[in-house]
Amino acid sequence: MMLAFCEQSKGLRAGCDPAGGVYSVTIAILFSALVSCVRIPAYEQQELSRPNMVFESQGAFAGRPAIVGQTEPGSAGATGGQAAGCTACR
Amino acid sequence: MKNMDQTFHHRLARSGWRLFILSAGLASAPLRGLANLETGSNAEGLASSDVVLSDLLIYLSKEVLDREMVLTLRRSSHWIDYRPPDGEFIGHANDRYSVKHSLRVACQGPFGDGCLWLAEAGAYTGFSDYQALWLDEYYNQLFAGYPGYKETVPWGSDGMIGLRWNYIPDSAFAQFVVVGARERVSPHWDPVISGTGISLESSDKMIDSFGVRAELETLLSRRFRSNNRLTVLESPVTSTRWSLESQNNYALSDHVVLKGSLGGCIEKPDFHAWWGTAAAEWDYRRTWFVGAQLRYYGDTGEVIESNPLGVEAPAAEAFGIFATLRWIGESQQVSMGIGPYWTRHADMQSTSPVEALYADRNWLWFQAAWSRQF
Repeated sequence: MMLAFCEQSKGLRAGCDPAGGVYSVTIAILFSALVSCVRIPAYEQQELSRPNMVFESQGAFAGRPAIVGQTEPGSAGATGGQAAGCTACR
Repeated sequence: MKNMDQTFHHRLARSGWRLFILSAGLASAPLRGLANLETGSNAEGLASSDVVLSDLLIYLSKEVLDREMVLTLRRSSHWIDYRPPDGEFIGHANDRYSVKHSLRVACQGPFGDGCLWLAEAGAYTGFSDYQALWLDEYYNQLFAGYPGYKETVPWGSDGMIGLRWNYIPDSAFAQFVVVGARERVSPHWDPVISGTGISLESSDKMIDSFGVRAELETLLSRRFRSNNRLTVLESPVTSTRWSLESQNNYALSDHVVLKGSLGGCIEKPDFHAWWGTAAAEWDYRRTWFVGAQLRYYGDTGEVIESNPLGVEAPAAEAFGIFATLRWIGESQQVSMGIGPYWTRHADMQSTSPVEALYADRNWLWFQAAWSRQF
Protein backbone atom coordinates (compact mmCIF):
# COMPACT_ATOMS: atom_id res chain seq x y z
CA MET A 1 0.00 0.00 0.00
CA MET A 2 2.80 2.36 0.88
CA LEU A 3 4.55 1.60 -2.34
CA ALA A 4 1.54 2.84 -4.22
CA PHE A 5 2.53 6.34 -3.27
CA CYS A 6 6.04 5.88 -4.60
CA GLU A 7 4.74 4.70 -7.91
CA GLN A 8 2.55 7.75 -8.13
CA SER A 9 5.22 10.17 -7.03
CA LYS A 10 5.69 11.54 -10.51
CA GLY A 11 1.98 12.24 -10.58
CA LEU A 12 2.32 14.12 -7.33
CA ARG A 13 4.55 16.64 -8.95
CA ALA A 14 1.95 17.30 -11.57
CA GLY A 15 -0.96 17.95 -9.27
CA CYS A 16 -1.89 16.89 -5.75
CA ASP A 17 1.04 17.56 -3.50
CA PRO A 18 0.94 16.33 0.11
CA ALA A 19 3.66 18.84 0.97
CA GLY A 20 1.29 21.63 -0.08
CA GLY A 21 -1.42 20.25 2.22
CA VAL A 22 1.00 19.93 5.09
CA TYR A 23 2.15 23.51 4.53
CA SER A 24 -1.44 24.78 4.51
CA VAL A 25 -2.26 23.06 7.79
CA THR A 26 1.01 24.16 9.37
CA ILE A 27 0.51 27.77 8.30
CA ALA A 28 -3.03 27.63 9.70
CA ILE A 29 -1.69 26.40 13.05
CA LEU A 30 1.06 29.03 12.98
CA PHE A 31 -1.50 31.75 12.26
CA SER A 32 -3.75 30.56 15.08
CA ALA A 33 -0.71 30.50 17.37
CA LEU A 34 0.01 34.11 16.51
CA VAL A 35 -3.49 35.47 16.94
CA SER A 36 -4.74 33.39 19.83
CA CYS A 37 -1.72 33.40 22.09
CA VAL A 38 -2.71 34.51 25.58
CA ARG A 39 -0.79 35.33 28.72
CA ILE A 40 -1.22 32.55 31.24
CA PRO A 41 0.10 33.31 34.73
CA ALA A 42 2.76 30.92 36.00
CA TYR A 43 0.46 29.65 38.77
CA GLU A 44 -2.02 28.47 36.14
CA GLN A 45 0.54 26.54 34.12
CA GLN A 46 0.46 23.26 36.06
CA GLU A 47 -0.76 21.29 33.04
CA LEU A 48 1.62 23.08 30.66
CA SER A 49 4.69 22.43 32.76
CA ARG A 50 4.29 18.65 32.93
CA PRO A 51 7.51 17.04 31.71
CA ASN A 52 5.76 15.54 28.69
CA MET A 53 4.16 18.86 27.70
CA VAL A 54 7.47 20.65 27.22
CA PHE A 55 9.39 20.48 23.92
CA GLU A 56 12.68 18.94 24.99
CA SER A 57 15.48 18.36 22.51
CA GLN A 58 17.40 15.90 24.68
CA GLY A 59 17.04 13.89 27.84
CA ALA A 60 14.46 11.32 28.87
CA PHE A 61 11.55 13.42 27.62
CA ALA A 62 12.92 14.29 24.18
CA GLY A 63 10.08 14.25 21.71
CA ARG A 64 11.16 12.27 18.69
CA PRO A 65 13.44 9.39 17.68
CA ALA A 66 16.46 11.28 16.35
CA ILE A 67 18.19 8.43 14.55
CA VAL A 68 15.38 7.86 12.04
CA GLY A 69 16.40 11.22 10.54
CA GLN A 70 19.06 9.31 8.61
CA THR A 71 16.36 7.67 6.53
CA GLU A 72 14.30 10.88 6.15
CA PRO A 73 16.39 13.36 4.17
CA GLY A 74 13.65 15.98 4.11
CA SER A 75 12.78 16.06 7.79
CA ALA A 76 16.38 15.98 8.99
CA GLY A 77 16.82 19.49 7.61
CA ALA A 78 20.11 18.46 6.08
CA THR A 79 22.07 21.37 4.76
CA GLY A 80 22.81 19.51 1.59
CA GLY A 81 26.08 18.45 3.09
CA GLN A 82 26.43 16.30 6.15
CA ALA A 83 25.65 18.66 9.02
CA ALA A 84 23.93 16.07 11.17
CA GLY A 85 24.11 16.94 14.81
CA CYS A 86 23.59 20.62 14.25
CA THR A 87 20.47 21.30 16.31
CA ALA A 88 20.10 24.71 14.77
CA CYS A 89 19.85 23.11 11.32
CA ARG A 90 16.90 20.92 12.28
CA MET B 1 30.40 -12.73 7.40
CA LYS B 2 29.49 -14.29 10.70
CA ASN B 3 32.82 -13.23 12.18
CA MET B 4 32.30 -9.70 10.92
CA ASP B 5 28.83 -9.63 12.46
CA GLN B 6 30.24 -10.79 15.77
CA THR B 7 32.99 -8.16 15.61
CA PHE B 8 30.46 -5.45 14.92
CA HIS B 9 28.09 -6.48 17.67
CA HIS B 10 31.02 -6.85 20.03
CA ARG B 11 32.07 -3.26 19.27
CA LEU B 12 28.53 -2.01 19.66
CA ALA B 13 28.11 -3.76 22.98
CA ARG B 14 31.48 -2.48 24.20
CA SER B 15 30.54 1.11 23.33
CA GLY B 16 27.22 0.73 25.08
CA TRP B 17 28.88 -0.62 28.19
CA ARG B 18 31.36 2.26 28.27
CA LEU B 19 28.56 4.79 28.09
CA PHE B 20 26.54 2.91 30.69
CA ILE B 21 29.48 2.80 33.13
CA LEU B 22 30.16 6.51 32.60
CA SER B 23 26.49 7.35 33.15
CA ALA B 24 26.22 5.17 36.23
CA GLY B 25 29.35 6.81 37.60
CA LEU B 26 27.83 10.25 37.15
CA ALA B 27 24.55 9.10 38.64
CA SER B 28 26.15 7.88 41.83
CA ALA B 29 28.91 10.45 42.11
CA PRO B 30 28.70 12.70 45.19
CA LEU B 31 28.52 15.93 43.18
CA ARG B 32 26.77 17.94 45.88
CA GLY B 33 28.92 21.00 45.22
CA LEU B 34 27.75 21.25 41.63
CA ALA B 35 24.43 22.98 42.02
CA ASN B 36 22.38 23.69 38.89
CA LEU B 37 24.09 20.90 37.00
CA GLU B 38 22.21 18.51 34.77
CA THR B 39 23.70 15.52 33.05
CA GLY B 40 22.23 12.81 30.91
CA SER B 41 22.86 10.23 28.26
CA ASN B 42 20.92 8.82 25.37
CA ALA B 43 21.47 5.60 23.45
CA GLU B 44 19.50 4.99 20.28
CA GLY B 45 19.66 2.27 17.65
CA LEU B 46 18.07 1.41 14.34
CA ALA B 47 18.70 -2.08 13.00
CA SER B 48 17.76 -3.89 9.80
CA SER B 49 19.14 -7.07 8.25
CA ASP B 50 21.93 -5.26 6.35
CA VAL B 51 22.28 -1.87 8.06
CA VAL B 52 22.75 -1.20 11.78
CA LEU B 53 22.99 2.33 13.18
CA SER B 54 23.66 3.49 16.71
CA ASP B 55 23.87 6.85 18.38
CA LEU B 56 25.28 7.36 21.87
CA LEU B 57 25.49 10.77 23.49
CA ILE B 58 26.23 12.25 26.86
CA TYR B 59 25.59 15.84 27.83
CA LEU B 60 26.37 18.16 30.72
CA SER B 61 24.38 21.31 31.33
CA LYS B 62 25.52 23.88 33.89
CA GLU B 63 23.90 27.12 34.96
CA VAL B 64 26.21 29.82 36.29
CA LEU B 65 24.58 33.08 37.34
CA ASP B 66 22.17 33.81 34.49
CA ARG B 67 24.07 31.86 31.86
CA GLU B 68 23.62 28.28 30.82
CA MET B 69 26.11 26.11 29.01
CA VAL B 70 25.53 22.66 27.48
CA LEU B 71 28.34 20.37 26.41
CA THR B 72 27.41 17.34 24.27
CA LEU B 73 29.66 14.47 23.23
CA ARG B 74 28.30 12.07 20.65
CA ARG B 75 29.37 8.81 19.07
CA SER B 76 27.42 7.56 16.07
CA SER B 77 28.20 4.28 14.36
CA HIS B 78 27.14 2.87 10.99
CA TRP B 79 27.50 -0.71 9.89
CA ILE B 80 26.57 -1.84 6.40
CA ASP B 81 26.59 -5.25 4.78
CA TYR B 82 27.69 -3.95 1.38
CA ARG B 83 26.74 -5.89 -1.75
CA PRO B 84 27.95 -4.69 -5.17
CA PRO B 85 25.23 -3.71 -7.65
CA ASP B 86 23.96 -6.46 -9.95
CA GLY B 87 25.86 -6.51 -13.22
CA GLU B 88 28.97 -4.82 -11.84
CA PHE B 89 32.05 -6.77 -12.83
CA ILE B 90 34.17 -4.95 -10.30
CA GLY B 91 33.36 -5.11 -6.62
CA HIS B 92 32.82 -7.57 -3.85
CA ALA B 93 30.73 -8.00 -0.73
CA ASN B 94 32.17 -6.18 2.23
CA ASP B 95 31.22 -5.24 5.79
CA ARG B 96 31.92 -1.57 6.46
CA TYR B 97 31.90 -0.11 9.93
CA SER B 98 32.40 3.56 10.54
CA VAL B 99 32.21 5.81 13.58
CA LYS B 100 31.43 9.49 13.71
CA HIS B 101 32.49 11.53 16.77
CA SER B 102 31.08 14.94 17.47
CA LEU B 103 31.34 17.64 20.09
CA ARG B 104 28.95 20.55 20.63
CA VAL B 105 28.89 23.52 22.97
CA ALA B 106 25.77 25.64 23.39
CA CYS B 107 25.45 28.76 25.54
CA GLN B 108 22.71 31.22 26.35
CA GLY B 109 22.37 34.24 28.60
CA PRO B 110 20.26 37.34 29.24
CA PHE B 111 20.25 40.16 26.72
CA GLY B 112 18.31 43.18 27.87
CA ASP B 113 14.76 43.01 29.13
CA GLY B 114 12.97 39.79 28.21
CA CYS B 115 15.59 38.60 25.71
CA LEU B 116 18.23 35.86 25.63
CA TRP B 117 21.26 35.55 23.39
CA LEU B 118 22.03 32.09 22.02
CA ALA B 119 25.26 30.71 20.64
CA GLU B 120 26.25 27.22 19.57
CA ALA B 121 29.25 25.62 17.90
CA GLY B 122 30.08 22.06 16.98
CA ALA B 123 32.43 19.85 15.03
CA TYR B 124 32.47 16.24 13.90
CA THR B 125 34.59 13.76 12.05
CA GLY B 126 33.30 10.70 10.21
CA PHE B 127 30.46 9.78 7.88
CA SER B 128 27.19 11.43 8.84
CA ASP B 129 24.92 8.69 7.59
CA TYR B 130 24.99 5.18 6.20
CA GLN B 131 24.14 6.36 2.67
CA ALA B 132 27.40 8.34 2.52
CA LEU B 133 29.31 5.32 3.81
CA TRP B 134 27.66 3.03 1.22
CA LEU B 135 28.51 5.38 -1.66
CA ASP B 136 32.07 5.73 -0.38
CA GLU B 137 32.45 1.95 -0.46
CA TYR B 138 30.94 1.81 -3.94
CA TYR B 139 33.34 4.42 -5.37
CA ASN B 140 36.26 2.95 -3.48
CA GLN B 141 35.71 -0.49 -5.03
CA LEU B 142 35.13 1.00 -8.47
CA PHE B 143 37.86 3.62 -8.71
CA ALA B 144 40.59 2.85 -6.14
CA GLY B 145 43.87 2.95 -8.03
CA TYR B 146 42.64 5.30 -10.75
CA PRO B 147 44.67 8.50 -11.11
CA GLY B 148 42.94 11.33 -9.27
CA TYR B 149 40.95 9.12 -6.90
CA LYS B 150 41.48 9.87 -3.24
CA GLU B 151 39.78 8.47 -0.19
CA THR B 152 38.07 11.11 1.89
CA VAL B 153 37.76 11.47 5.64
CA PRO B 154 34.62 13.57 6.13
CA TRP B 155 34.50 16.24 8.81
CA GLY B 156 32.47 19.32 9.52
CA SER B 157 32.02 22.27 11.81
CA ASP B 158 29.18 24.68 12.29
CA GLY B 159 28.10 27.59 14.41
CA MET B 160 25.01 29.59 15.11
CA ILE B 161 24.05 32.76 16.91
CA GLY B 162 20.59 34.00 17.71
CA LEU B 163 18.22 35.89 19.89
CA ARG B 164 15.14 34.78 21.82
CA TRP B 165 12.50 37.33 22.72
CA ASN B 166 9.95 36.47 25.41
CA TYR B 167 7.33 38.78 23.97
CA ILE B 168 4.66 37.54 26.37
CA PRO B 169 6.47 36.75 29.65
CA ASP B 170 6.12 33.09 30.69
CA SER B 171 3.73 32.44 27.80
CA ALA B 172 5.36 33.02 24.41
CA PHE B 173 8.71 33.52 22.78
CA ALA B 174 10.01 34.22 19.31
CA GLN B 175 13.48 33.10 18.32
CA PHE B 176 15.67 33.91 15.36
CA VAL B 177 19.00 32.21 14.64
CA VAL B 178 21.60 32.36 11.89
CA VAL B 179 23.49 29.17 11.05
CA GLY B 180 26.70 28.56 9.14
CA ALA B 181 28.43 25.26 8.41
CA ARG B 182 31.55 24.08 6.59
CA GLU B 183 31.90 20.42 5.76
CA ARG B 184 34.28 18.16 3.94
CA VAL B 185 32.16 15.42 2.41
CA SER B 186 32.80 12.19 0.59
CA PRO B 187 32.18 13.24 -3.05
CA HIS B 188 30.57 11.50 -6.01
CA TRP B 189 33.00 10.39 -8.71
CA ASP B 190 32.47 10.24 -12.48
CA PRO B 191 34.86 8.75 -15.05
CA VAL B 192 35.67 11.02 -17.99
CA ILE B 193 37.07 9.44 -21.15
CA SER B 194 39.46 11.65 -23.11
CA GLY B 195 42.26 11.20 -25.65
CA THR B 196 44.76 10.52 -22.90
CA GLY B 197 42.67 7.81 -21.23
CA ILE B 198 40.22 7.73 -18.34
CA SER B 199 40.33 10.38 -15.67
CA LEU B 200 38.02 11.03 -12.72
CA GLU B 201 35.95 14.05 -11.86
CA SER B 202 34.47 14.52 -8.42
CA SER B 203 31.66 16.65 -7.05
CA ASP B 204 32.41 19.37 -4.51
CA LYS B 205 34.35 18.09 -1.54
CA MET B 206 34.10 21.21 0.59
CA ILE B 207 30.62 22.57 1.18
CA ASP B 208 29.67 25.80 2.89
CA SER B 209 26.07 26.12 4.00
CA PHE B 210 24.17 29.04 5.42
CA GLY B 211 20.72 29.28 6.91
CA VAL B 212 18.26 31.08 9.12
CA ARG B 213 15.57 29.75 11.41
CA ALA B 214 12.62 31.51 12.97
CA GLU B 215 10.77 29.83 15.81
CA LEU B 216 7.64 30.72 17.70
CA GLU B 217 6.45 28.96 20.85
CA THR B 218 3.15 29.93 22.40
CA LEU B 219 0.63 28.85 24.99
CA LEU B 220 -2.80 28.77 23.38
CA SER B 221 -4.66 27.86 26.56
CA ARG B 222 -4.01 26.37 29.98
CA ARG B 223 -3.67 22.99 28.27
CA PHE B 224 -2.26 23.73 24.82
CA ARG B 225 1.39 24.40 23.95
CA SER B 226 2.46 25.02 20.35
CA ASN B 227 5.88 25.33 18.73
CA ASN B 228 6.33 26.39 15.09
CA ARG B 229 9.51 26.83 13.13
CA LEU B 230 10.53 27.96 9.69
CA THR B 231 14.00 27.08 8.40
CA VAL B 232 15.65 28.35 5.22
CA LEU B 233 18.94 26.75 4.17
CA GLU B 234 21.22 27.55 1.29
CA SER B 235 24.09 25.39 0.09
CA PRO B 236 26.02 25.16 -3.18
CA VAL B 237 25.01 21.54 -3.81
CA THR B 238 21.29 22.17 -3.46
CA SER B 239 19.02 25.10 -4.09
CA THR B 240 17.33 26.94 -1.23
CA ARG B 241 15.50 24.56 1.06
CA TRP B 242 12.41 25.79 2.91
CA SER B 243 11.17 23.74 5.87
CA LEU B 244 8.19 24.40 8.07
CA GLU B 245 7.26 22.36 11.12
CA SER B 246 4.57 22.66 13.77
CA GLN B 247 4.57 20.69 17.03
CA ASN B 248 1.58 20.78 19.35
CA ASN B 249 1.00 19.27 22.80
CA TYR B 250 -2.43 19.15 24.39
CA ALA B 251 -3.26 17.99 27.92
CA LEU B 252 -6.49 16.14 27.28
CA SER B 253 -7.08 15.29 30.94
CA ASP B 254 -5.16 15.19 34.19
CA HIS B 255 -3.31 12.09 33.07
CA VAL B 256 -3.41 12.06 29.26
CA VAL B 257 -1.39 14.19 26.85
CA LEU B 258 -1.90 14.19 23.08
CA LYS B 259 0.93 15.26 20.81
CA GLY B 260 0.93 15.99 17.11
CA SER B 261 3.40 17.42 14.65
CA LEU B 262 3.31 18.25 10.96
CA GLY B 263 6.15 19.31 8.74
CA GLY B 264 6.98 19.95 5.12
CA CYS B 265 10.01 20.82 3.04
CA ILE B 266 10.41 22.22 -0.46
CA GLU B 267 13.58 22.46 -2.50
CA LYS B 268 13.79 23.47 -6.15
CA PRO B 269 13.52 22.11 -8.73
CA ASP B 270 11.36 19.27 -7.54
CA PHE B 271 12.15 17.90 -4.09
CA HIS B 272 9.20 17.87 -1.69
CA ALA B 273 8.97 16.11 1.67
CA TRP B 274 6.22 15.90 4.28
CA TRP B 275 5.98 14.19 7.63
CA GLY B 276 3.83 13.97 10.72
CA THR B 277 3.57 12.29 14.09
CA ALA B 278 0.68 11.54 16.40
CA ALA B 279 1.28 10.43 19.97
CA ALA B 280 -0.62 9.82 23.17
CA GLU B 281 0.90 9.50 26.62
CA TRP B 282 -0.78 8.39 29.83
CA ASP B 283 0.76 8.90 33.24
CA TYR B 284 0.34 7.21 36.59
CA ARG B 285 0.68 9.76 39.40
CA ARG B 286 2.93 11.89 37.21
CA THR B 287 5.70 9.36 37.88
CA TRP B 288 5.28 6.68 35.23
CA PHE B 289 4.48 7.65 31.64
CA VAL B 290 3.38 5.15 29.01
CA GLY B 291 3.12 6.36 25.42
CA ALA B 292 2.63 5.33 21.83
CA GLN B 293 3.68 7.28 18.75
CA LEU B 294 2.90 6.90 15.04
CA ARG B 295 5.21 8.48 12.52
CA TYR B 296 4.91 8.94 8.77
CA TYR B 297 7.34 10.46 6.27
CA GLY B 298 7.22 10.81 2.49
CA ASP B 299 9.25 12.57 -0.18
CA THR B 300 9.42 12.83 -3.96
CA GLY B 301 13.06 11.76 -4.21
CA GLU B 302 16.03 13.57 -5.69
CA VAL B 303 15.99 12.04 -9.15
CA ILE B 304 15.72 14.93 -11.62
CA GLU B 305 16.68 13.31 -14.91
CA SER B 306 16.46 9.66 -15.77
CA ASN B 307 20.06 8.46 -15.66
CA PRO B 308 20.67 4.71 -15.65
CA LEU B 309 23.89 5.24 -13.69
CA GLY B 310 22.64 8.01 -11.39
CA VAL B 311 23.04 7.67 -7.63
CA GLU B 312 20.24 10.03 -6.58
CA ALA B 313 17.68 8.81 -4.06
CA PRO B 314 14.28 7.73 -5.41
CA ALA B 315 10.96 8.71 -3.84
CA ALA B 316 10.67 7.34 -0.32
CA GLU B 317 8.16 6.65 2.40
CA ALA B 318 8.67 5.66 6.03
CA PHE B 319 6.29 4.57 8.75
CA GLY B 320 6.94 3.81 12.41
CA ILE B 321 5.10 2.76 15.55
CA PHE B 322 6.98 3.47 18.75
CA ALA B 323 6.16 2.58 22.34
CA THR B 324 7.79 4.48 25.21
CA LEU B 325 8.02 4.06 28.97
CA ARG B 326 9.37 6.90 31.10
CA TRP B 327 9.90 7.36 34.79
CA ILE B 328 10.53 10.58 36.62
CA GLY B 329 11.94 10.69 40.15
CA GLU B 330 12.91 13.52 42.42
CA SER B 331 16.08 14.34 40.51
CA GLN B 332 16.36 11.65 37.84
CA GLN B 333 14.49 10.68 34.70
CA VAL B 334 14.69 7.46 32.73
CA SER B 335 13.13 6.54 29.42
CA MET B 336 13.00 3.45 27.20
CA GLY B 337 11.44 2.98 23.79
CA ILE B 338 11.09 0.36 21.12
CA GLY B 339 9.15 -0.14 17.91
CA PRO B 340 9.16 -1.25 14.27
CA TYR B 341 9.98 1.19 11.50
CA TRP B 342 9.62 0.59 7.76
CA THR B 343 11.21 2.39 4.81
CA ARG B 344 9.99 1.94 1.24
CA HIS B 345 11.36 3.34 -2.02
CA ALA B 346 9.99 3.76 -5.51
CA ASP B 347 11.13 1.23 -8.10
CA MET B 348 14.46 2.04 -9.71
CA GLN B 349 15.92 1.14 -13.06
CA SER B 350 17.52 -2.28 -12.97
CA THR B 351 20.80 -0.69 -14.09
CA SER B 352 20.88 1.66 -11.13
CA PRO B 353 24.02 1.17 -9.04
CA VAL B 354 22.20 2.24 -5.86
CA GLU B 355 19.33 -0.22 -5.98
CA ALA B 356 20.73 -2.05 -2.94
CA LEU B 357 21.32 1.20 -1.05
CA TYR B 358 17.72 2.27 -1.51
CA ALA B 359 16.19 -1.16 -0.97
CA ASP B 360 13.06 -1.46 1.15
CA ARG B 361 13.97 -2.22 4.74
CA ASN B 362 12.21 -3.32 7.92
CA TRP B 363 13.92 -1.81 10.94
CA LEU B 364 13.76 -2.11 14.70
CA TRP B 365 14.15 1.14 16.61
CA PHE B 366 15.19 1.12 20.27
CA GLN B 367 16.23 3.76 22.72
CA ALA B 368 17.25 4.29 26.35
CA ALA B 369 17.82 7.68 27.97
CA TRP B 370 18.64 8.91 31.40
CA SER B 371 19.16 12.32 33.00
CA ARG B 372 19.84 13.68 36.46
CA GLN B 373 19.60 17.15 37.97
CA PHE B 374 21.89 18.14 40.84
